[in-house]
Amino acid sequence: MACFYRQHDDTEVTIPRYIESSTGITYYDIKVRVAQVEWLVERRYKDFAQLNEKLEEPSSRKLLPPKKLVGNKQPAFLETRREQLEKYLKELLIHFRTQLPQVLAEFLEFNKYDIIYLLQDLAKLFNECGDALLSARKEYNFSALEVFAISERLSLPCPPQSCNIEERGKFDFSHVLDFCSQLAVLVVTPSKENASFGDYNAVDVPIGRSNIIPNRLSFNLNAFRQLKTLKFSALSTENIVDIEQLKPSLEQIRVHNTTITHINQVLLCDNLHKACDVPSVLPPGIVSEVAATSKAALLSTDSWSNLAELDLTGNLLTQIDGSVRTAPKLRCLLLEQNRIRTIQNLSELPHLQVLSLSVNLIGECVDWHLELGNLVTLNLAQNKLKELSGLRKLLSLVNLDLSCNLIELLDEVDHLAGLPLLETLRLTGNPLAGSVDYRPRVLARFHERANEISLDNEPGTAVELDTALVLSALLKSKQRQQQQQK
Amino acid sequence: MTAAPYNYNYIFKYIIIGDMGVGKSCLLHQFTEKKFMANCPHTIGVEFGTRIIEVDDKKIKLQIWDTAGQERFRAVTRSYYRGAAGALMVYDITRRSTYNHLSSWLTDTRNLTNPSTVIFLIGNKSDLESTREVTYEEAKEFADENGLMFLEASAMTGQNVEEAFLETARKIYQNIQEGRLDLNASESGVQHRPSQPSRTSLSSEATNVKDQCSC
Repeated sequence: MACFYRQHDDTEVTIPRYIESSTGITYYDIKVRVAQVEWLVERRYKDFAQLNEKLEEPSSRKLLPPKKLVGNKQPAFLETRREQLEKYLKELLIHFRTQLPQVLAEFLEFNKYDIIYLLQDLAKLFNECGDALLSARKEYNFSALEVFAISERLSLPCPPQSCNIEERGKFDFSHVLDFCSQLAVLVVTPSKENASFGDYNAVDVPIGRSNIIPNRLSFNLNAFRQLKTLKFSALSTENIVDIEQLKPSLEQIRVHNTTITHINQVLLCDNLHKACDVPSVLPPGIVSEVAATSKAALLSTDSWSNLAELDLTGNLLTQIDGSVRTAPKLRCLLLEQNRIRTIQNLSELPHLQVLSLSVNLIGECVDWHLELGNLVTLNLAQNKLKELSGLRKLLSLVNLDLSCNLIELLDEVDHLAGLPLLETLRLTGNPLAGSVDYRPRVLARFHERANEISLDNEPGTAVELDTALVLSALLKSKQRQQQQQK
Repeated sequence: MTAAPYNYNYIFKYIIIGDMGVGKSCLLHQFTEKKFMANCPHTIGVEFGTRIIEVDDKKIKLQIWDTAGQERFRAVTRSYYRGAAGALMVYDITRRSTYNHLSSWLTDTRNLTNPSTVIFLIGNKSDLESTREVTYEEAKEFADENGLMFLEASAMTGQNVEEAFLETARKIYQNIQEGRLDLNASESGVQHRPSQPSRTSLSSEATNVKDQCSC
């Protein structure tokens, strides 16, 4: 991202070419380069003329080539004019090298790509309607570029106020900082123009007509002091250089539509060494008490002590790595639409209540009660499960979604019938749900508790429960017979 | 199959903890089935039991989580402390090591439950007087120092088993009456069912439960 303030000596403006549009208007493609950053702006002669009028210093006015009414479409003329306009812009930049006037900055789109000028626009916005935005919702969507600009601006040796005397108050960077420090929910997306930006294939697309790529901007979040929620969309959290200060206070993190493959890319985003072997932060057990205490002490600075919800829907996660242990207060873990095949490292999350693994690649669940403790809600919709025996002792489950799996046999439901607290169960979309009398036959497996179960979003009807009761009696007598035979 | 199982005013959540082999599952079995279970297998993860009791003419359903004592299950069982209204901490009076580990169990309990959780210390196997290694007085002193309720009991004979579970419930109920336990707190371990529940009130209860979920 550009910083004219610091790099005006390395700034260049050229007009490499002109374009004739289909409507007969000639546009000049202006190329601005500040150090390594460059961008293109399209302007017609009329825009130049308007700019020239708005510029206050008369000394610069004479520099603009005069208007020509006849013969202004000839290539030779246009070529000369291109050169003249280029010279004009170069002169302007030299003239205003300490501080670009607002009109010129906007003409050359510095307010889109340059730290100082972009933040002046933001400052103006927050000065005018920051309080209104905050009182409605403490949430705001920044582009990666804006967050980057804020982060960079904080380390710039430059006073917060602009040098434009007449508008001084409006463009004060303090307005931005003030707004950021009150924000509770920060949403960061690659760019703002495309609000529905959701495709992670597009993260390497440059911003506007510049060579700035949002996913390559690294920033800190030090300006956001009261943040409770962090939402990243299509943008990797690995761009955050320093998140230490937010760790104790953040309650919710959402990262959607990125190419991250490991949870540690989020939870250990600013750690260089993403060791999966994260020691437990829980009180140590009887064995290895001393060793564990010292480890826990080391880790305490690294832990997300208030993080209750982690939503990593729609990424490319392949496993649940040990970094989840750095969030011991996690209550809700949503890992929908990833590529996870099995669960790991969840046993040390004593507060975990909700786990969603819908739309993943889970083919089997072996003894999940040894991996998951006191879980209340489990969503396994749209996986590849055939057998349910591994869920038989997740005794604390109240809500279980198994819709759209590969469960064929009704006997698999028996494994769920022993879950004493189960209230809602979804089995729709499985092969077994297509069979005759599917609902009463499933309910029958719950025997006395049939009327407490809501199957596929509705409790059993009176007719279904009556049928279930009969079927349940039949099942029981069959079991008795089998036992007697033994 | 009657409406009787729904006829209660409160649900209290208990957790039973302590070293392997101290008789946690047997205490639960004795309490829910009124029978002694010989050759009880090791608990894998957790087991679950319920029983409806009466305190002050109020029917209370106890939901009891019986945890595995083995160290390798410690991580999983820790999650069951969450939202426990009562914690029964068990040691074996014939094995001193199980008594020595109580402080570690107590640390876990204090760390993972809320301050209003009632902790009841049970010295099990009181029928095996001849091989006793921990005296009543010693354990009583430990209990008093740490503000725990205490009894010696026997899952074998059933002595004091009812008392331990019921005393815990009475203490929780007393906490509710005295306002020390917030029924609306999400993890108090107590659910109140105000009216005689019919089908409709059950469903409204279900939505309440969903509202409480923070996610």
